[in-house]
Amino acid sequence: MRVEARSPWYRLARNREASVGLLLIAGMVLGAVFAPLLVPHPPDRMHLDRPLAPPGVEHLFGTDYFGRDVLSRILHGGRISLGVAVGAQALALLLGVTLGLLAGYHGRWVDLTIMRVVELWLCFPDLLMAVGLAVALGPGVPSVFLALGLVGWPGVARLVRGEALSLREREFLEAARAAGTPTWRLLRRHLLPNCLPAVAVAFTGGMAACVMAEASLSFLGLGVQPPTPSWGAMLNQGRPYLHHAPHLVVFPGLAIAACVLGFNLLGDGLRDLLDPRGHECRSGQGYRRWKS
Amino acid sequence: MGERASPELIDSIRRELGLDAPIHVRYGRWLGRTLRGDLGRSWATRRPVLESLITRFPVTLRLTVLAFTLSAVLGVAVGVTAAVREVSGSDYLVRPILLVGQSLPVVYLGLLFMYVFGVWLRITPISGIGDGGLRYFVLPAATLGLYGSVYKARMTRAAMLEVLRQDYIRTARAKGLAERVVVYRHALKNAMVTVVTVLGTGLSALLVGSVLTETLFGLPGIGKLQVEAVWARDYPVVMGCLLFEAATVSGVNLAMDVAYAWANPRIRLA
Repeated sequence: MRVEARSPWYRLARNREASVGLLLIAGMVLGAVFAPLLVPHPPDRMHLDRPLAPPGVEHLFGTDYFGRDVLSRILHGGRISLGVAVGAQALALLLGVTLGLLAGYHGRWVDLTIMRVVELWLCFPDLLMAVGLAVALGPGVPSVFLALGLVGWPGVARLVRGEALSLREREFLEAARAAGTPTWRLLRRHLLPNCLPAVAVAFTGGMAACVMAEASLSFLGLGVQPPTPSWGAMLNQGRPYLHHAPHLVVFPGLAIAACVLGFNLLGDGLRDLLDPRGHECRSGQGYRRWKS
Repeated sequence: MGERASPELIDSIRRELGLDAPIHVRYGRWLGRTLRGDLGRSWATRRPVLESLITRFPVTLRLTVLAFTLSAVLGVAVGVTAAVREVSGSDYLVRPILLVGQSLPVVYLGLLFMYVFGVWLRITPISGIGDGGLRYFVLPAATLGLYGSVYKARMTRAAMLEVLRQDYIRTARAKGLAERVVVYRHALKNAMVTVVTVLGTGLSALLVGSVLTETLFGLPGIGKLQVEAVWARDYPVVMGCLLFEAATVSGVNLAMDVAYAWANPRIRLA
C-alpha cells in the first residue's frame, strides 16, 4: 500500500520534463519567499548616481531609471506576481470546484442554472473582461487578483462538472449514498478526491496563464502600480528605455517566461501521469482566449 | 463637464444620453437601434460607433491577413515535422522550441523584436502606423504570427501523432508510397479536422483585434479601440466592439463548419 501511495511522486520525478518544471518553479518560489534575505540591494533603494546602468558586477542585471537594482526588484516582483497568481487560482478553484461539483452531482435545475451562468461568463473575451473588472475595481494588486480569479472560475467549473458527471453513477458513490451519507460529506469525501487529479492539471495551467495575464494587465497599465515591483509592471515600465537599456525589459521577461515554462512543463508531466490518453488542451482552459 | 458642473447640466446630459431610463428600457432602445443598423454614438468622441469600427477595421484586417498566413504556414509545417520526427525518434529540437515558445508572453516577444529589428538593426519602424505602409506591419505581424504558430504547431503535432499510429498509414507505407505522399496526402488530410479547428479559432482571435499587440505597436485597430473604450468607460463603443466580435466569431465558425465538410467528407452538413 505504501509503495502504491508513493509511486505517483516517484513517477513524476522520473519524468524529465516535469522535474525540470518543478525545479524551475521551486527556484522561483524560493527566490520570491527569501527575497529580503537574498537581494543585494533593497528593491526601492535609488542609486541616483547610476541610473540605467548596464548589467555588471555591482548590479548583476543592471539598474533602472531611478538607479534601482533590477535583480532585487525581480526577486521582490516574484512575490507579487506569484502571489497574485496563487491568490487568483485559489479563488478560481474555490468557486469553480464548488459550483462544478454541485452542478455535476445534483444535475437537473442546479446543473442547468450553474452551467448557463458559466456559458454566459465564457461569452465575454477574457482579456476584455479582466480589463473591465480591473477598471471597475481600480488598478492595484487586489483588483488584479480578483479580476483574474473571476475570469478563471468558469473553466474550472466546466472541467469539474464533467468529472463529477462521470463519477456520479459509479458504484462507490451509490454505496455511499445507500449508507445514508449526507450530501455535503459525499461531495467532500467521495467526489472531490476523485476530481483532484484533473484539478491539479488545471491548477498548473491556470498558474501559467495567471502569470502571463498579470503581465498583460500590467502592460495595459491596469495591474500593479508603481513603486511596487511585479514582473509585468517592470516589463511595462522598461518599455520607454528600450533604446538605451534593453536589460530593463529582457530580465523581467525572462522571469515570466521561465516561470510559465516551469508550470507548463509540470502540467504536461502531470497530465501524462494522470491521464495517459493525453488531452492537449485541458489545462488552463478557463483562459482559452487569453491570446494576443 | 468637469468637477463644478451644475446639477441641471448633469441632468440634461443624463437625459441626452438616455441614462434617466431604467435598464430594461435602455436595453430595448439599444436593441431597437442596433437592429436598424445604428450602433449609437461614442460618449467620449460623439462619433458614431459604426464609423469608428469601419475606420479601424482595415488596420486589424491587414494585420490579420499577414499574421494568419505566417502562423498557419509555419504552425502546420512545424507541427507536421515535429510529429514525423517524434515517431522516428529524432526530435531533439522542435519540441523544446515549442515548449519555450509557448511560454513567451506576446508582449515580450514583440519587445524583443522591436529591440532587435528596430533599435539594433534599424531595418523596420518600431511602432506607429506612419503612412499606413506595409513596413509598419512587419514587426507586429511577425510577432503575432510566430506567437500564434506555436499553438497551431502543438495541436497539429498532437493530431498528426494520433493519425500516424493508424493502420492505414502502415498500409500506405507498405505499398511503397513515397514518404511525402504518406505524410501529406494520407496523414495530414486525416488530421485536417483538428487543423481546421485551430486555424479557425486563431483566425477569429486575430480578426476581433489583438489587444496587446496593437497597443504595443501603436496600431489603431479594433483591439486598441476596445481597450481605449473600456478604459474610458465608453459603453456604446464597448457594446459595439462586443457585437462586432460576436458577429465575427459566428461568421468564422460557420466557415469552419463548411471547411470540416471539405476536410472530412464523412461530416455532412445537415
